[in-house]
Amino acid sequence: MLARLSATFINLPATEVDRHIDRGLQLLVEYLDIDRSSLAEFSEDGRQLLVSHSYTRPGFAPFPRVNIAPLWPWYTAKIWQGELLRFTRLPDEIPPEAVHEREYFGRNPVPQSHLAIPFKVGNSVLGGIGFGSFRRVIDWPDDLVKNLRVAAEIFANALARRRAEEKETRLREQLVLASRVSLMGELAASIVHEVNQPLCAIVSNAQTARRMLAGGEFNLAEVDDALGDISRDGQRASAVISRIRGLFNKAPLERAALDLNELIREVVNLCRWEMTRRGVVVKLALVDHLPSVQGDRVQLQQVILNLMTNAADAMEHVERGRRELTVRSATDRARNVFVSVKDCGVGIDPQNSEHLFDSFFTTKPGGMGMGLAICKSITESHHGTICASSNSDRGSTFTFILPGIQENVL
Amino acid sequence: MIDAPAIVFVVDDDPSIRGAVVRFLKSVGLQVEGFGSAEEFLERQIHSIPSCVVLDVCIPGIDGLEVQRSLAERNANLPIVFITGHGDIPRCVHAMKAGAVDFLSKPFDNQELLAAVRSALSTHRHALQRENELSILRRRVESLSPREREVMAFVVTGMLNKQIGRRLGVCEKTIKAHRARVMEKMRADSLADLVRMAEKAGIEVPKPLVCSP
Repeated sequence: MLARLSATFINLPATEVDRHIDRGLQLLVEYLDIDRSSLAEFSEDGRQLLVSHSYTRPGFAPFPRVNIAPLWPWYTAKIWQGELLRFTRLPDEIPPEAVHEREYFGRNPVPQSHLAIPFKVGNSVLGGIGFGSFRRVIDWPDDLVKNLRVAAEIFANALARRRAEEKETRLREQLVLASRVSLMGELAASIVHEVNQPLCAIVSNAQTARRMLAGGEFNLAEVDDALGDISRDGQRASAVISRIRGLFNKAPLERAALDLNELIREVVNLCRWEMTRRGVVVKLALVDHLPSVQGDRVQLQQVILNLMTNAADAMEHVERGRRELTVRSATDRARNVFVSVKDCGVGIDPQNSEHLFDSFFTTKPGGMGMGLAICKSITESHHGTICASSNSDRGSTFTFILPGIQENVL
Repeated sequence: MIDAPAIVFVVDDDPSIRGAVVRFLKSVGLQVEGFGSAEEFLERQIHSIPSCVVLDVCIPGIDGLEVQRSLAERNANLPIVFITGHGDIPRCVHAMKAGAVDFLSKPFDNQELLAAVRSALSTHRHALQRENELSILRRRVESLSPREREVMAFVVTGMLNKQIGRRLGVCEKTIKAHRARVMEKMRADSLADLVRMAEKAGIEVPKPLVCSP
């Protein structure tokens, strides 16, 4: 039975762990012919012991999914210390110092026998598994306990792995966010400009309208025109803010069907001023009827923006009138969507081509080297790929490819 | 032409700003024309009417400084009032050195803009007047015969007719006659007047000979 348990958990992806633990507990309860089994995990600070999984034989009181640390402090402390607890006859065997526990079992149904096995990973106790029997008295012989310890280990390893994966995902998300904030810095000039323009016009039009009214003899239609323009420009500024706010949003991953052409146009619009300021001419070569892609809008825009900023950086030493950046979209018969950013700058040194997308790899003084690594991370989380090549004339082209949503064939 | 109503050219690719500036300047009674790009503006014929340009320094395509240069090449030295956004200060200093009238940063005050535009128009008006005067003077000088021109050159140095006669080997009476014709053709009211005209027209004055006893 242990072999079976082990085999189930060995390569389980993080998302499947919970389901299988529940199932595993059920297996144990049935196999041992007991009535209840629960798994509790310590919180990261060790103050809480939360029952996260439980299986109870139908007809018996299920174990509450609560933090048992305040209810059973003595018990929790023992588990925390890694001490195995064996009770054959409850509630008699509860030691006098376990005051809370005595009180609890005065009010609640108590199993006749209980076994608690702490499980560790390395040197830290992650939690414990408890086994309870209502119908019969069990004296928990040593070899049984030994086998149950092995079972506990299997659960522990799965849980530990899941925790690590979750942590990694959280970190990756933080990194993506941090990179986005730093990209915002690149957009700062654009943002300021795009908001300042309509504001300037509003101030001027308002002054003009007042002047017209103060003059006594005025054409109402002209004053109305001025006010109309003020309103329009106010909305223009508002729209810019909305777009920027959208990029700053820390909302969790939102997957939707996206039109990459639309995303590209939005990004180009957002950094239009910055590109102009840097003397970069942006050209678009977008193909019609691009298949939709399932993905997170903001993350994919982040990739496009990053590639465009890199392209502009690469062309810093190119003569001002000739800094050309081309964004292209394409598709193939398998409905894959290709987006490429091409520049005519310094190109890729063949020595670096293997490491371009590595973390901390950069050719820029003061660069952190995370931009492309994050682009790769985002692309891959969208089940896509990203690659780079040197152009035959000059400069480089960075392309990312994402699977398009397949049409339903009726 | 100089008394024709002045005209202001507004060049800005941003329709909001361009619209607002055009509206304001029209509301104070000026003739205004708006352009969405420097290229468009440079295609317009510039006549000798007092005018000026209100120009955004950082528009895509040909930039403000290029416009300045292009106008100078065509001898249309229109004064330019630059509007600038954030971070354009170094370019503006550059523009100022190259002869721009003024620069205003966004958001600008309408009154400030008007003051700058009026000043620019006034500058251009005076420049056109000076040019006009100069061309009139030049025409008058051209109407003089070579001899008359020679005489005029000596007259404005303050030499007496007798001295001029000796210098040119011609009798005094002839010099007097030439002098009279010069004053007439140049429409000078006095010697002082003639001297001013000669200066303006850039007439080369002969060097005084070492005094002979």
